[in-house]
Amino acid sequence: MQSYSAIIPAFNAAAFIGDAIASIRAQTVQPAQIIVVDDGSSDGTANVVRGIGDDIVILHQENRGVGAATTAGFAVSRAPLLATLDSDDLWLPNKMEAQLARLAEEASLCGVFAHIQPFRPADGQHASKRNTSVPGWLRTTMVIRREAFTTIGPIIDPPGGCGDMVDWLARVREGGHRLTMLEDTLALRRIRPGSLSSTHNADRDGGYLYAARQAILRKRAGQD
Amino acid sequence: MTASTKFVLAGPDVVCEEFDGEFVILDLETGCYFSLNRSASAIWKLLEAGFAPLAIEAALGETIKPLLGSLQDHKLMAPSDEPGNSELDDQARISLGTIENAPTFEVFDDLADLIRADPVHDVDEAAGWPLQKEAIPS
Repeated sequence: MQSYSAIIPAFNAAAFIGDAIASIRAQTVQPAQIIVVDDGSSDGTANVVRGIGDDIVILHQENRGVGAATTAGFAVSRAPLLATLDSDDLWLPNKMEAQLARLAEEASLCGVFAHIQPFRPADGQHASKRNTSVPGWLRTTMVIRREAFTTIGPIIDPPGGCGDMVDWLARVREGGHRLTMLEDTLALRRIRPGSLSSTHNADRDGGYLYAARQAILRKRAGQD
Repeated sequence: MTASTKFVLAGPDVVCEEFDGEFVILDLETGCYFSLNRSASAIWKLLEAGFAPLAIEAALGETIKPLLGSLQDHKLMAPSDEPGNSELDDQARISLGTIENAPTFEVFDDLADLIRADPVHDVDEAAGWPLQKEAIPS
Protein backbone atom coordinates (compact mmCIF):
# COMPACT_ATOMS: atom_id res chain seq x y z
CA MET A 1 0.00 0.00 0.00
CA GLN A 2 1.18 3.48 -0.80
CA SER A 3 1.66 6.10 1.88
CA TYR A 4 -0.68 9.05 2.35
CA SER A 5 -0.63 12.61 3.58
CA ALA A 6 -3.57 13.65 5.76
CA ILE A 7 -4.69 17.22 5.08
CA ILE A 8 -7.10 19.28 7.21
CA PRO A 9 -8.15 22.76 6.09
CA ALA A 10 -9.21 24.66 9.21
CA PHE A 11 -10.96 27.94 9.86
CA ASN A 12 -11.84 28.76 13.48
CA ALA A 13 -11.84 25.07 14.29
CA ALA A 14 -10.32 25.17 17.78
CA ALA A 15 -13.28 23.41 19.36
CA PHE A 16 -13.27 20.39 17.09
CA ILE A 17 -9.92 19.96 15.41
CA GLY A 18 -8.54 17.96 18.32
CA ASP A 19 -11.15 15.29 17.71
CA ALA A 20 -10.45 15.32 13.98
CA ILE A 21 -6.71 14.81 14.53
CA ALA A 22 -7.38 12.12 17.14
CA SER A 23 -9.41 10.25 14.52
CA ILE A 24 -6.34 10.31 12.26
CA ARG A 25 -4.10 9.12 15.09
CA ALA A 26 -6.53 6.24 15.62
CA GLN A 27 -6.19 4.96 12.06
CA THR A 28 -4.98 1.39 11.69
CA VAL A 29 -2.70 2.67 8.93
CA GLN A 30 -0.94 5.89 9.89
CA PRO A 31 -0.21 8.81 7.53
CA ALA A 32 3.24 9.82 6.37
CA GLN A 33 2.39 13.29 7.63
CA ILE A 34 -0.50 15.34 8.98
CA ILE A 35 -0.91 18.82 7.52
CA VAL A 36 -3.23 21.45 9.00
CA VAL A 37 -3.83 24.54 6.90
CA ASP A 38 -4.97 27.38 9.13
CA ASP A 39 -7.11 29.58 6.89
CA GLY A 40 -6.74 32.79 8.87
CA SER A 41 -8.41 31.57 12.06
CA SER A 42 -8.94 34.02 14.91
CA ASP A 43 -9.76 31.47 17.61
CA GLY A 44 -6.33 29.98 18.28
CA THR A 45 -6.79 26.95 16.05
CA ALA A 46 -3.05 26.78 15.34
CA ASN A 47 -2.22 26.85 19.06
CA VAL A 48 -4.54 23.94 19.69
CA VAL A 49 -2.87 21.95 16.91
CA ARG A 50 0.61 22.84 18.15
CA GLY A 51 -0.37 21.53 21.57
CA ILE A 52 -1.39 18.19 20.11
CA GLY A 53 1.95 17.31 18.58
CA ASP A 54 5.01 18.91 17.03
CA ASP A 55 5.00 16.36 14.22
CA ILE A 56 1.98 18.08 12.67
CA VAL A 57 2.80 20.46 9.81
CA ILE A 58 0.92 23.74 10.26
CA LEU A 59 0.53 26.16 7.36
CA HIS A 60 -0.84 29.65 7.80
CA GLN A 61 -2.62 31.70 5.19
CA GLU A 62 -4.90 34.70 5.03
CA ASN A 63 -8.53 33.68 5.01
CA ARG A 64 -9.02 32.53 1.42
CA GLY A 65 -11.53 29.72 1.69
CA VAL A 66 -11.63 26.00 2.30
CA GLY A 67 -10.75 25.10 -1.29
CA ALA A 68 -7.69 27.32 -1.32
CA ALA A 69 -6.62 25.93 2.05
CA THR A 70 -6.97 22.36 0.81
CA THR A 71 -4.96 23.22 -2.28
CA ALA A 72 -2.21 24.73 -0.12
CA GLY A 73 -2.09 21.47 1.82
CA PHE A 74 -1.82 19.47 -1.39
CA ALA A 75 1.04 21.66 -2.54
CA VAL A 76 3.26 20.96 0.48
CA SER A 77 2.30 17.30 0.89
CA ARG A 78 4.81 14.59 0.03
CA ALA A 79 2.98 11.28 -0.11
CA PRO A 80 1.64 9.78 -3.36
CA LEU A 81 -1.88 9.64 -1.91
CA LEU A 82 -3.81 12.61 -0.52
CA ALA A 83 -6.49 12.14 2.14
CA THR A 84 -8.52 15.14 3.25
CA LEU A 85 -10.64 15.75 6.34
CA ASP A 86 -12.90 18.65 7.27
CA SER A 87 -11.87 20.00 10.65
CA ASP A 88 -15.13 19.16 12.42
CA ASP A 89 -15.57 15.66 11.01
CA LEU A 90 -14.15 12.29 12.05
CA TRP A 91 -12.65 9.29 10.33
CA LEU A 92 -13.52 5.83 11.61
CA PRO A 93 -10.41 3.80 12.52
CA ASN A 94 -10.41 1.47 9.50
CA LYS A 95 -11.13 4.20 6.95
CA MET A 96 -7.69 4.60 5.48
CA GLU A 97 -6.87 0.90 5.56
CA ALA A 98 -10.00 0.08 3.53
CA GLN A 99 -9.45 2.85 1.02
CA LEU A 100 -5.72 2.23 0.62
CA ALA A 101 -6.43 -1.44 -0.01
CA ARG A 102 -8.87 -0.54 -2.76
CA LEU A 103 -6.41 1.80 -4.43
CA ALA A 104 -3.70 -0.87 -4.19
CA GLU A 105 -6.00 -3.38 -5.90
CA GLU A 106 -6.89 -1.15 -8.81
CA ALA A 107 -4.11 0.88 -10.33
CA SER A 108 -6.51 2.56 -12.77
CA LEU A 109 -8.58 4.05 -9.95
CA CYS A 110 -7.69 7.64 -9.14
CA GLY A 111 -9.79 8.22 -6.05
CA VAL A 112 -11.82 6.36 -3.47
CA PHE A 113 -14.68 7.77 -1.41
CA ALA A 114 -16.91 6.18 1.22
CA HIS A 115 -20.28 6.46 2.89
CA ILE A 116 -20.57 8.92 5.74
CA GLN A 117 -22.91 9.09 8.67
CA PRO A 118 -24.05 12.20 10.52
CA PHE A 119 -23.48 12.56 14.23
CA ARG A 120 -24.38 15.18 16.77
CA PRO A 121 -22.55 16.35 19.84
CA ALA A 122 -23.76 14.29 22.78
CA ASP A 123 -26.05 16.94 24.20
CA GLY A 124 -29.13 14.75 23.98
CA GLN A 125 -31.11 17.69 22.70
CA HIS A 126 -31.60 16.66 19.14
CA ALA A 127 -31.12 12.95 18.82
CA SER A 128 -30.92 12.13 15.17
CA LYS A 129 -33.91 10.22 13.98
CA ARG A 130 -32.58 9.58 10.55
CA ASN A 131 -28.89 8.93 10.63
CA THR A 132 -28.47 6.57 7.76
CA SER A 133 -25.22 6.63 5.89
CA VAL A 134 -25.12 8.32 2.54
CA PRO A 135 -22.56 8.31 -0.27
CA GLY A 136 -20.02 10.95 0.64
CA TRP A 137 -18.53 12.68 -2.40
CA LEU A 138 -16.85 14.92 0.12
CA ARG A 139 -13.55 16.25 1.36
CA THR A 140 -13.83 14.14 4.51
CA THR A 141 -14.17 10.87 2.60
CA MET A 142 -11.74 11.56 -0.25
CA VAL A 143 -8.50 9.68 -0.85
CA ILE A 144 -7.02 10.58 -4.19
CA ARG A 145 -3.82 10.04 -6.12
CA ARG A 146 -1.53 13.02 -6.34
CA GLU A 147 -1.89 13.04 -10.14
CA ALA A 148 -5.45 14.37 -9.78
CA PHE A 149 -4.03 17.49 -8.18
CA THR A 150 -1.08 17.87 -10.53
CA THR A 151 -3.21 17.49 -13.66
CA ILE A 152 -6.50 19.16 -12.63
CA GLY A 153 -5.07 21.98 -10.55
CA PRO A 154 -6.34 23.90 -7.55
CA ILE A 155 -9.69 23.57 -5.81
CA ILE A 156 -11.56 26.79 -6.57
CA ASP A 157 -13.79 28.45 -3.99
CA PRO A 158 -17.00 29.59 -5.69
CA PRO A 159 -18.44 32.95 -4.65
CA GLY A 160 -20.10 32.37 -1.29
CA GLY A 161 -17.68 29.61 -0.36
CA CYS A 162 -19.90 26.58 -1.00
CA GLY A 163 -19.74 23.94 -3.71
CA ASP A 164 -15.95 23.82 -4.10
CA MET A 165 -15.85 20.03 -4.09
CA VAL A 166 -18.72 19.75 -6.57
CA ASP A 167 -16.73 21.87 -9.00
CA TRP A 168 -13.40 20.17 -8.39
CA LEU A 169 -14.66 16.59 -8.51
CA ALA A 170 -16.55 17.39 -11.72
CA ARG A 171 -13.27 18.59 -13.21
CA VAL A 172 -11.42 15.52 -11.95
CA ARG A 173 -13.95 13.20 -13.57
CA GLU A 174 -14.00 15.17 -16.81
CA GLY A 175 -10.21 14.84 -16.82
CA GLY A 176 -10.69 11.11 -17.22
CA HIS A 177 -9.80 10.20 -13.64
CA ARG A 178 -11.91 7.37 -12.33
CA LEU A 179 -13.44 7.75 -8.86
CA THR A 180 -15.28 5.11 -6.91
CA MET A 181 -17.55 4.97 -3.88
CA LEU A 182 -17.12 2.31 -1.19
CA GLU A 183 -20.32 1.03 0.36
CA ASP A 184 -18.76 1.01 3.83
CA THR A 185 -19.42 3.81 6.28
CA LEU A 186 -15.93 5.09 7.06
CA ALA A 187 -16.46 8.61 8.36
CA LEU A 188 -18.74 10.72 10.54
CA ARG A 189 -20.06 14.17 9.76
CA ARG A 190 -20.64 16.51 12.68
CA ILE A 191 -24.02 18.22 12.75
CA ARG A 192 -24.19 21.45 14.65
CA PRO A 193 -26.45 24.43 14.29
CA GLY A 194 -24.75 27.20 12.41
CA SER A 195 -22.04 25.06 10.87
CA LEU A 196 -21.38 25.20 7.18
CA SER A 197 -23.28 21.97 6.78
CA SER A 198 -26.50 23.28 8.25
CA THR A 199 -27.13 26.19 5.98
CA HIS A 200 -29.82 26.36 3.38
CA ASN A 201 -29.07 29.60 1.74
CA ALA A 202 -28.07 31.69 -1.20
CA ASP A 203 -24.35 30.95 -0.78
CA ARG A 204 -24.98 27.27 -1.20
CA ASP A 205 -27.24 27.77 -4.22
CA GLY A 206 -24.75 30.21 -5.72
CA GLY A 207 -21.89 27.75 -5.31
CA TYR A 208 -23.76 24.99 -7.08
CA LEU A 209 -24.89 27.32 -9.84
CA TYR A 210 -21.30 28.45 -10.28
CA ALA A 211 -20.18 24.83 -10.57
CA ALA A 212 -22.95 24.14 -13.09
CA ARG A 213 -22.07 27.21 -15.16
CA GLN A 214 -18.39 26.23 -15.22
CA ALA A 215 -19.35 22.71 -16.34
CA ILE A 216 -21.47 24.17 -19.17
CA LEU A 217 -18.60 26.41 -20.30
CA ARG A 218 -16.18 23.45 -20.29
CA LYS A 219 -18.59 21.42 -22.43
CA ARG A 220 -18.80 24.26 -24.94
CA ALA A 221 -15.04 24.67 -25.02
CA GLY A 222 -14.76 20.95 -25.68
CA GLN A 223 -17.09 21.23 -28.66
CA ASP A 224 -15.10 23.98 -30.36
CA MET B 1 -54.50 27.97 -19.25
CA THR B 2 -56.11 31.35 -19.84
CA ALA B 3 -54.72 34.44 -21.53
CA SER B 4 -53.58 35.76 -18.17
CA THR B 5 -52.26 32.54 -16.64
CA LYS B 6 -48.69 33.10 -15.50
CA PHE B 7 -45.85 30.73 -14.69
CA VAL B 8 -44.05 30.61 -11.37
CA LEU B 9 -41.06 28.62 -10.13
CA ALA B 10 -42.26 25.11 -9.44
CA GLY B 11 -40.87 25.00 -5.91
CA PRO B 12 -38.21 26.12 -3.46
CA ASP B 13 -35.74 23.57 -4.84
CA VAL B 14 -35.56 25.40 -8.16
CA VAL B 15 -32.84 28.06 -8.13
CA CYS B 16 -31.33 30.04 -10.96
CA GLU B 17 -28.73 32.62 -11.81
CA GLU B 18 -27.91 34.71 -14.86
CA PHE B 19 -24.37 34.54 -16.22
CA ASP B 20 -23.51 36.82 -19.16
CA GLY B 21 -27.13 36.94 -20.28
CA GLU B 22 -27.68 33.19 -19.99
CA PHE B 23 -29.61 31.54 -17.22
CA VAL B 24 -28.48 28.41 -15.44
CA ILE B 25 -31.29 26.70 -13.53
CA LEU B 26 -30.67 24.05 -10.92
CA ASP B 27 -33.09 21.60 -9.37
CA LEU B 28 -31.64 20.93 -5.93
CA GLU B 29 -33.88 17.92 -5.48
CA THR B 30 -32.60 15.99 -8.48
CA GLY B 31 -29.21 17.68 -8.89
CA CYS B 32 -30.00 18.25 -12.60
CA TYR B 33 -29.12 21.59 -14.12
CA PHE B 34 -30.35 23.37 -17.21
CA SER B 35 -28.81 25.84 -19.60
CA LEU B 36 -30.86 28.48 -21.42
CA ASN B 37 -29.40 30.40 -24.35
CA ARG B 38 -29.89 34.16 -24.53
CA SER B 39 -33.23 33.88 -26.31
CA ALA B 40 -34.60 31.40 -23.82
CA SER B 41 -33.17 33.51 -21.00
CA ALA B 42 -35.02 36.59 -22.22
CA ILE B 43 -38.24 34.57 -22.16
CA TRP B 44 -37.42 33.12 -18.72
CA LYS B 45 -36.99 36.63 -17.37
CA LEU B 46 -40.39 37.70 -18.68
CA LEU B 47 -42.00 34.59 -17.21
CA GLU B 48 -40.35 35.32 -13.87
CA ALA B 49 -41.65 38.89 -14.11
CA GLY B 50 -45.19 37.53 -14.36
CA PHE B 51 -45.97 37.98 -18.03
CA ALA B 52 -48.43 35.37 -19.26
CA PRO B 53 -46.93 32.71 -21.58
CA LEU B 54 -49.75 33.34 -24.05
CA ALA B 55 -48.82 37.02 -24.20
CA ILE B 56 -45.22 36.10 -25.01
CA GLU B 57 -46.39 33.55 -27.54
CA ALA B 58 -48.59 36.18 -29.21
CA ALA B 59 -45.45 38.26 -29.73
CA LEU B 60 -42.97 35.55 -30.65
CA GLY B 61 -45.10 32.81 -32.16
CA GLU B 62 -45.02 29.10 -31.53
CA THR B 63 -41.24 29.11 -31.25
CA ILE B 64 -41.62 29.38 -27.49
CA LYS B 65 -43.82 26.31 -27.11
CA PRO B 66 -41.03 23.74 -26.83
CA LEU B 67 -39.37 25.85 -24.14
CA LEU B 68 -42.58 26.18 -22.14
CA GLY B 69 -43.09 22.44 -22.46
CA SER B 70 -39.57 21.69 -21.27
CA LEU B 71 -39.87 24.01 -18.27
CA GLN B 72 -43.03 22.21 -17.21
CA ASP B 73 -41.80 18.70 -18.03
CA HIS B 74 -38.74 19.23 -15.85
CA LYS B 75 -40.82 20.80 -13.08
CA LEU B 76 -38.97 24.09 -13.18
CA MET B 77 -42.02 26.28 -13.74
CA ALA B 78 -45.72 25.64 -13.36
CA PRO B 79 -48.90 27.58 -14.10
CA SER B 80 -50.03 29.67 -11.16
CA ASP B 81 -53.53 30.23 -9.84
CA GLU B 82 -52.71 33.91 -9.50
CA PRO B 83 -53.35 35.82 -12.71
CA GLY B 84 -50.37 37.23 -14.53
CA ASN B 85 -49.92 40.10 -16.91
CA SER B 86 -51.67 39.32 -20.18
CA GLU B 87 -50.26 42.39 -21.94
CA LEU B 88 -46.59 42.91 -22.63
CA ASP B 89 -45.30 46.34 -21.70
CA ASP B 90 -42.84 48.37 -23.76
CA GLN B 91 -39.83 47.06 -21.91
CA ALA B 92 -40.93 43.47 -22.43
CA ARG B 93 -41.41 44.13 -26.15
CA ILE B 94 -37.95 45.67 -26.38
CA SER B 95 -36.44 42.68 -24.66
CA LEU B 96 -38.23 40.26 -26.98
CA GLY B 97 -37.11 42.39 -29.91
CA THR B 98 -33.51 41.53 -29.13
CA ILE B 99 -34.15 37.82 -29.66
CA GLU B 100 -32.29 36.58 -32.72
CA ASN B 101 -32.12 32.81 -32.37
CA ALA B 102 -34.55 30.10 -31.41
CA PRO B 103 -34.70 29.55 -27.66
CA THR B 104 -32.74 26.48 -26.56
CA PHE B 105 -32.97 24.44 -23.41
CA GLU B 106 -30.31 21.90 -22.42
CA VAL B 107 -30.48 19.37 -19.60
CA PHE B 108 -27.46 17.99 -17.73
CA ASP B 109 -27.21 15.42 -14.96
CA ASP B 110 -23.45 14.94 -14.71
CA LEU B 111 -23.19 16.76 -11.36
CA ALA B 112 -26.30 15.18 -9.84
CA ASP B 113 -24.52 12.68 -7.57
CA LEU B 114 -22.11 15.34 -6.34
CA ILE B 115 -24.80 17.93 -5.62
CA ARG B 116 -27.18 15.51 -3.94
CA ALA B 117 -24.38 14.23 -1.71
CA ASP B 118 -23.12 17.66 -0.73
CA PRO B 119 -23.84 18.14 2.96
CA VAL B 120 -24.34 21.84 2.63
CA HIS B 121 -27.74 21.13 1.27
CA ASP B 122 -31.03 20.14 2.72
CA VAL B 123 -30.45 20.04 6.39
CA ASP B 124 -33.37 19.17 8.54
CA GLU B 125 -32.43 20.14 12.06
CA ALA B 126 -35.03 17.85 13.57
CA ALA B 127 -34.23 14.83 11.49
CA GLY B 128 -30.49 15.18 11.25
CA TRP B 129 -28.33 15.75 8.30
CA PRO B 130 -28.01 14.80 5.51
CA LEU B 131 -31.29 13.75 4.03
CA GLN B 132 -30.22 12.55 0.68
CA LYS B 133 -33.06 12.65 -1.73
CA GLU B 134 -34.24 9.54 -3.49
CA ALA B 135 -32.07 8.69 -6.43
CA ILE B 136 -33.36 10.11 -9.66
CA PRO B 137 -34.31 7.56 -12.28
CA SER B 138 -31.51 7.19 -14.76
